[in-house]
Amino acid sequence: MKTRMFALLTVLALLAAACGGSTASPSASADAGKAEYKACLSLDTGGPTDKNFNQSAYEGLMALKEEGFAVAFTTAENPQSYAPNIQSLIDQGCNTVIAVGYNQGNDLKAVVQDPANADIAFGWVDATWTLDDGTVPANFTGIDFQIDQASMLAAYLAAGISSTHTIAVYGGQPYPGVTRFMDGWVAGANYYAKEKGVPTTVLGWDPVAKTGVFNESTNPFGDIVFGKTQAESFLGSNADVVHPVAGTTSNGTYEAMLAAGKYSVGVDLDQCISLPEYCGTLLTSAQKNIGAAVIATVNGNYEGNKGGTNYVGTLANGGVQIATLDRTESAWTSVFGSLVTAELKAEVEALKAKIIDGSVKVSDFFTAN
Amino acid sequence: MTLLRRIAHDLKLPLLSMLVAFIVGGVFIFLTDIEMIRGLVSNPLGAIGAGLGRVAAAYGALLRGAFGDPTTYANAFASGGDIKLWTRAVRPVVESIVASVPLIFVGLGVSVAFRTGIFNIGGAGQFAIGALGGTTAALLFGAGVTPVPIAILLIMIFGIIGGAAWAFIPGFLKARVGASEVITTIMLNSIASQLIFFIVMNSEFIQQEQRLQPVSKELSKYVDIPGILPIEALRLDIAFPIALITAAVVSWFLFRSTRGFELRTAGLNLAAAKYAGIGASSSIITAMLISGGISGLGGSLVVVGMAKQLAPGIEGSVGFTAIAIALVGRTKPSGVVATALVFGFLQQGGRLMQIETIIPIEMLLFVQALVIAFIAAPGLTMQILKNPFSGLRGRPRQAKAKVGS
Repeated sequence: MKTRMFALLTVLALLAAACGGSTASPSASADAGKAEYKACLSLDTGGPTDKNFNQSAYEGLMALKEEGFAVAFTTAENPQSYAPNIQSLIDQGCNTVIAVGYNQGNDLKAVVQDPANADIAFGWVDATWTLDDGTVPANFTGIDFQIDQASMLAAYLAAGISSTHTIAVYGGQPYPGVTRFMDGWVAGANYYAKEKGVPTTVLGWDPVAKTGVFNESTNPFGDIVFGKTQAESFLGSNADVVHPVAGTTSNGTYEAMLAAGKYSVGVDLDQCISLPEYCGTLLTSAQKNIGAAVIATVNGNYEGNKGGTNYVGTLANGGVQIATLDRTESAWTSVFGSLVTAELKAEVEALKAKIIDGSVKVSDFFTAN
Repeated sequence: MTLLRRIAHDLKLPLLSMLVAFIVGGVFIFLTDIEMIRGLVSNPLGAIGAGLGRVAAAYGALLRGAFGDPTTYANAFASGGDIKLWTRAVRPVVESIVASVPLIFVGLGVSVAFRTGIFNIGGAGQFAIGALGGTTAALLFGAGVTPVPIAILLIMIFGIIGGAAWAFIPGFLKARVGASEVITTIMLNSIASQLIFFIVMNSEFIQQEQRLQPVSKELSKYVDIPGILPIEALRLDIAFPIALITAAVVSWFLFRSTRGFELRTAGLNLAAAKYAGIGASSSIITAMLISGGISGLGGSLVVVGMAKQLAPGIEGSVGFTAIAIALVGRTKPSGVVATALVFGFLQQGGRLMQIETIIPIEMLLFVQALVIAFIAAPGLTMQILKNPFSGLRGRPRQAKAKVGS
């Protein structure tokens, strides 16, 4: 009897909600204007807790919520859900819609160019977009990162601690947002070799021929087993620092490198913080400050600038960086405290300054010598 | 009268299962909020009230996300013929139907096999190879090479051939050497997705120009599958009526044709069928060809029409969802169509539920799984509801699909 009452109650409540419209109550905030402005994310399949780029974007969104903005997000179940997810956000009255991930591009471009959406500001994390006539649509902001600059620093550091003078890299799939990490990795090793006169081998990517190691499975960014076996294969080839650019697949690599007492370099976030269990193998991470870019873009949209530009994060503007080397985590200091010498740190800082002032360009170091 | 009673009887279990699944799902929605669990101790009545509110908000959003918001409908009516407002009002329900289209095709496909006693788990692979066939046809015959209607016909034919060819392999193996179709079809699913990855990555004919990653050329530039709604922004195309026609044809075939009767006989009792002079091998192969052909047809129409691009993972989770749909729909074409629509509405409604209440989309998979579990265990469902209709008590009915060999 009780259960039937409960069922009845649920059905009634359901009907009431269906007829009554939205029951969501916006929380009180300091800035009334911001509460009226809705910032929204269409996340990729990783969702808000992928410990990777979706999570960085999501953390940016949560910071916007703290600022007083109304927020919402969707998570894609598969590539077919990008279009309906973006459309649902538009229909829910979002003022800014940011699609996170390169793959959402086709579906995003279609809605940006639809005149019905001219009043909505769109963003695309991990890519820029320029029309054939050389302009960027007025209601669109591309959010991209010169992550090769950060990866180059990380690779210099890696080459500096490598005892075998062999470091390795692989990607989930050959998207531009992935191969750019790999370009920087090769450049950093070549720069180190040139500066120090110590030949350094890089496995896994040739930036000139654009060939390298990718995960050719149907789940390239969520395939921990591949990450593990690939790391073991690199270890077998004498590499002692691996830079996996493959989402959750990378976790398998960290696990294998940690078990072997060797080193890795993380991507996107400071992974020593997002994945503390692997802090003992994570020398540093090539970070994209996606959250900061999301916050800046939404605030710009809110102030009336709806787009027409591509934002490119660099070392110079703080959009990309390597994770701090002044760590206090004991897992990190016990391994890297002695390996990362003050001298090496100073050299990395010097390289960073040269990249910022333009005297060193990543693309000049795609080949050795 | 008897027809009505039969329909009522057929609907009783699925509807009750769905009701129970939503109630149990509601309990879990309640439990996912830590504040409410804490509140249970300090202020139980208030917490239960707030919890019911949260569940109601979630399911309310689910319904509005699936069918549309009453206020947007009201605005659209009030405006008269404002296309923008109408688009906005009916888009949720249209998208729900769009989401159900691949499920209808693959659900029908696996149902034909189930009816013949073959547990075809390969719907996903057959759908994917059908999509590959459709893509090939669109690139070969689209962009003015043949008139659009002929190009679409060829896309469908290539899709059917692709899916049927992929299903022929396990059918042949089963008929000739008795290889378990459960194993072979699952394996062929993986092979199909890897094959598509390989082809899209390496074929200049299919891969988009100047792209390093595995995506095909944009098929909408080759063939534009016509929509069936007067508003262009609504992307429901002829795939939906074709799905319904397919369901009608399958229904006629299974229940009115001689060959369909033979297949069903083989499905009910292979030994008896053999005794009656029905060829076991030919029944198995025929059923697999039809089953794969239907899934492949769906793949070809979905890739050219709605997805507009072939990429690995085009099949998504359609294979397994379709098996569930076939079972819930009792492998009857009408039941499959109805169940696929329900699942499509759930899928679309879930988007709004996530947007409004931040309840993860996975919660819906949970509810879907519960629906299936309760249908598979009718006795349990009835027990939970203390079913007052005595007809079913103590006589648990199995969902009618005869599966396995």
